[in-house]
Amino acid sequence: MSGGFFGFDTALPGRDNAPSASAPGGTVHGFQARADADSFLGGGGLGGAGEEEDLAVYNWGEGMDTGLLEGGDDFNDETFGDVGDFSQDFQFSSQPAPTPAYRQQPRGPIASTKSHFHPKAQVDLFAATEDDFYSSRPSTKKSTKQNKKKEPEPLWAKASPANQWGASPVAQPRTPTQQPAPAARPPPGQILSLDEIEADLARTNINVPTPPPVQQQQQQPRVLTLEEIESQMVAGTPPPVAHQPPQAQHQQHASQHSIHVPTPPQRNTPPVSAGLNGSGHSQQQQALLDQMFPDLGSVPAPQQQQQVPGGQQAMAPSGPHQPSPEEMAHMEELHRRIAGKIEAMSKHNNLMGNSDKDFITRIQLSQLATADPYSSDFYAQVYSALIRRQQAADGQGPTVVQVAPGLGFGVGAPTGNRFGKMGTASMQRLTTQVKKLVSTTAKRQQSNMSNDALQGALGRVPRARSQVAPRQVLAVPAATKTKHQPINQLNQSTGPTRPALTRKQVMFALEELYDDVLEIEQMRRDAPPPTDVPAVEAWNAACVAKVDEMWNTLMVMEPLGVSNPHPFISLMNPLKGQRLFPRLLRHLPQQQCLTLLTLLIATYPQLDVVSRAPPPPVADSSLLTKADRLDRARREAETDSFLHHVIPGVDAIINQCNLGLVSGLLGICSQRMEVWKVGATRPGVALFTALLSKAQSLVRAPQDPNHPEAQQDPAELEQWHKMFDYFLQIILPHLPELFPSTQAQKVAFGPGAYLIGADAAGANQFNEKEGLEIERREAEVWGLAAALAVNAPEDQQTNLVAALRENILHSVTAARDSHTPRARAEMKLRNVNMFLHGLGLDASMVPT
Amino acid sequence: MLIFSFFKTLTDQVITVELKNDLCITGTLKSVDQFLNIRLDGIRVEDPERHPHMLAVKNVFIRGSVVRYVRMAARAVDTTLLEDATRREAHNTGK
Amino acid sequence: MEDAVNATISEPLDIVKLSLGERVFMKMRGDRTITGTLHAYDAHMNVVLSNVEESIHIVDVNEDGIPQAPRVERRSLEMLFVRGDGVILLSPTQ
Repeated sequence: MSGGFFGFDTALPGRDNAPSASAPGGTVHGFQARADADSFLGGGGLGGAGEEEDLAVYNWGEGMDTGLLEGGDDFNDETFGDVGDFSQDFQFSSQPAPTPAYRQQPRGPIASTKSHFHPKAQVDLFAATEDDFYSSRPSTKKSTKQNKKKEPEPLWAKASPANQWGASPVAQPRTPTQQPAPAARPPPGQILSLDEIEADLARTNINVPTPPPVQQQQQQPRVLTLEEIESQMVAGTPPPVAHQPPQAQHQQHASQHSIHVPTPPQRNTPPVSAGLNGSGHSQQQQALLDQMFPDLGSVPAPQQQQQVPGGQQAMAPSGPHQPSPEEMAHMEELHRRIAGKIEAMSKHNNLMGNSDKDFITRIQLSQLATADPYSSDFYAQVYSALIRRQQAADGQGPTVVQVAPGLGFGVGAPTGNRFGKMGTASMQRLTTQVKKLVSTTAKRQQSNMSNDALQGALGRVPRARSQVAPRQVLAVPAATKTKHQPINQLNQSTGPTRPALTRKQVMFALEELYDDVLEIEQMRRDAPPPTDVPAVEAWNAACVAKVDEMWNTLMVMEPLGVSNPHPFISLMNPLKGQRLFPRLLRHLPQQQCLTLLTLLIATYPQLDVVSRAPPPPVADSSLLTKADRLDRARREAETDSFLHHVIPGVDAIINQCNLGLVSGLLGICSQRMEVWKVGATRPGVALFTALLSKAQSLVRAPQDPNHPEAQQDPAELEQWHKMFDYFLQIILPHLPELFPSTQAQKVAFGPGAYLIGADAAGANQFNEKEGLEIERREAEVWGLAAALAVNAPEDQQTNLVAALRENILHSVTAARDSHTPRARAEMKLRNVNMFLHGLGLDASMVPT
Repeated sequence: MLIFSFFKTLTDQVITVELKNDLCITGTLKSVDQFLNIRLDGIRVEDPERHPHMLAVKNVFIRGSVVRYVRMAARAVDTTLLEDATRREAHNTGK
Repeated sequence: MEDAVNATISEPLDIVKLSLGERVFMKMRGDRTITGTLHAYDAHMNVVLSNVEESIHIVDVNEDGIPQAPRVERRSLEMLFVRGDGVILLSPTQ
């Protein structure tokens, strides 16, 4: 024994620099080939002198004792003084007094990688996991307990019972010489000797009735269907290893599977289980595999049954359902393929240790979690909030996984994912760790990523979390953007008129508006508490400023004739402008809403949906070219969108108007637009109807003496009547043309291109669904007619009926026609009645 | 993070992942990560004759980079909200 | 006016933003083209589209190695995520 190993005699000549070489008969790397005492010496020498190192005891095979070179001890007394007897159980620890219990512990043939003895310069060449690989370096840990390596708090411990039983000492008789060579295979938790294996085999064979000599199913091994297994259980066969304590059962498992290599007589696919379960991590892996392949759950089961070869299979036919041979063959084939796959995959088993997995989980969590879930996870957070609101009635819980309070983690099924396997304690631990990670990352980014740090940086700027937001290599801050300059400059050209906005400019302005709206919406959400008066004032001012900004971008205040279409109308033409409209209105004060409505009505004919309204439908769309069809579809979609998004907003504003305003707006209509043209479009009909009905409700409003302001000013009433008369005069001659059916008839030219008419024959050319759609559109115009009717003085009512006489007759006769589908006939009658009821008439009064 | 956020809302929905090798896999989205790796359960392959090796596979983990398209139901997506989220993201990263 | 708009568009993605919510045309690797309504995009040009029509342009080659007339396969999809690494260009449709 050299003093160098014990680190005492550092000054011994010739020892310091080449301790390993001078160790008697030893080579450092002989460790792998021959685990004898010399390698200990060499390894210890490398550890350097004077270091107070604890070296865990390493029991490397039984051959160790005999392999020890007992020579060269002549100077021991000189070195150590008289320390009395040396036993061969060396305690390579600096702790002076080895515990007696330890000393008596048999030096088992356990080739465990959990051992802590390792040459300093070497990592554990037999490490099964990366954990072991690194943790095998000498540590300052005091624990020298054999085979007890404490993993650094594995979060997955619960999921890996393998660690526990794999590391526990095994009290099984075995012959040291038959110990499998450790280097042959990466050592599993424990390696069983052949003896042991045979003993196990014998035991199982005893426990089980010996199978009949000739078993057909023996040739067809190891594939049992679930039904068979169930049937066996029903038949009352005790589980093969039920009599053994769980621990032993585990071991038996392992041994059973280890058998496969040496004695595979009845098994066709032994390597599977050998690869899977023989590695000492079978439980963990199985858990993992089960999780990944729940459908393969039937595979392990047959393997368990396999422990009892033949005997139980013989009972299988007594089961309730016996699969046919083809089924069996198919299942077998399937299982073999699955097993092969699993085997192929199993060579990657245990590449990562628990702490590796924890580490990666932490990294992933830290990337996912964020201090402000609403900024980087806006969609998922709001979406799940909306869903939750929907589900609130059902009493379902929140779907957002909260990593920590305030640290949103997005939606996801908490049960289905990998975190489900972790206990709450682990999750909490992760939570705090993630919190720390997030805050430190944020801090580092703040300190590192200041503009000064980037300015002039020509090289690569390392940046954390580049995955989340890739950034150009050179990010020299630009001069602060003058944000609102361009929008004002959209309007900057002088002169009374200028070209209309280009599509790009429109889109640009719309995006600015969307940004403004989003900002305002965010500001409204972030309202300060009402008690904090200065904050509320500041917040109010900020909101008003933002709304003003938005108002400017809307360009409503541009002169009416500045361009055709007016800039604001240009904004309302694209679909996304229409979708924005109701959101804009929500933030505008009422006065600005009114101004906006006035402008909209004054420039109504410039709207795409009015000036380029979709043509009436044709009977046979196959007559149209593809481009024509697409164009029609697009225009229809625009019209639908306008009616869906803009008109409700318009209605809402009109509803806030008093009679004077309404008559003013109607006056604008009569003066600024060709009422009959606009009225022939659905948006036009909708606008007129809204104005007329509001006026009617105001005129007919109950005169409440308590609310004098609710009473109509006689002057306003007078003005309204004048306006209405004028409007009616203009529209009356064109009234029949407003109906889609009439329009369709007007453009009906060419053979085959029969377009709908109010007559039943024409109507039948359309299928039922289209027919109903046409009636719905007719209803819109009948609604306008009704609004005219209720507003009209009596002398005008007769004019109205006269103007619409043809339409009424057509509708009523078509409705009474037996060829007309019932639903459509009812709609026709309802449409006509909508108008006639306004006059106190009914369709039934129309003579046939 | 926007698209990641988007995919998170699709968890437990049935989606179809079309890979760059034209393999189309339909299954229930179980999880997704920031690389848009996708885990699918209960999968079914379009055109199984062409891909018999996928028959036995019931769950897959798809590396994000091999994905060409992901098809999903329109009702599973709130397009207005998604556009807003995109604008916010552009606003935040652009400044 | 045009200049004013261009002055504020400093990044390519700013142009993509203008098409948000509008129909776009995309040219893809593998002789594919897509039109659809753009609902989301990110820095990688991952996009989410609705009402998608995809066209695959295929040139078949017969046994003699002579290419046949190109044909186009079309399909419609209601909602589609397109991974950005397959995107060649994106442009607004007219």
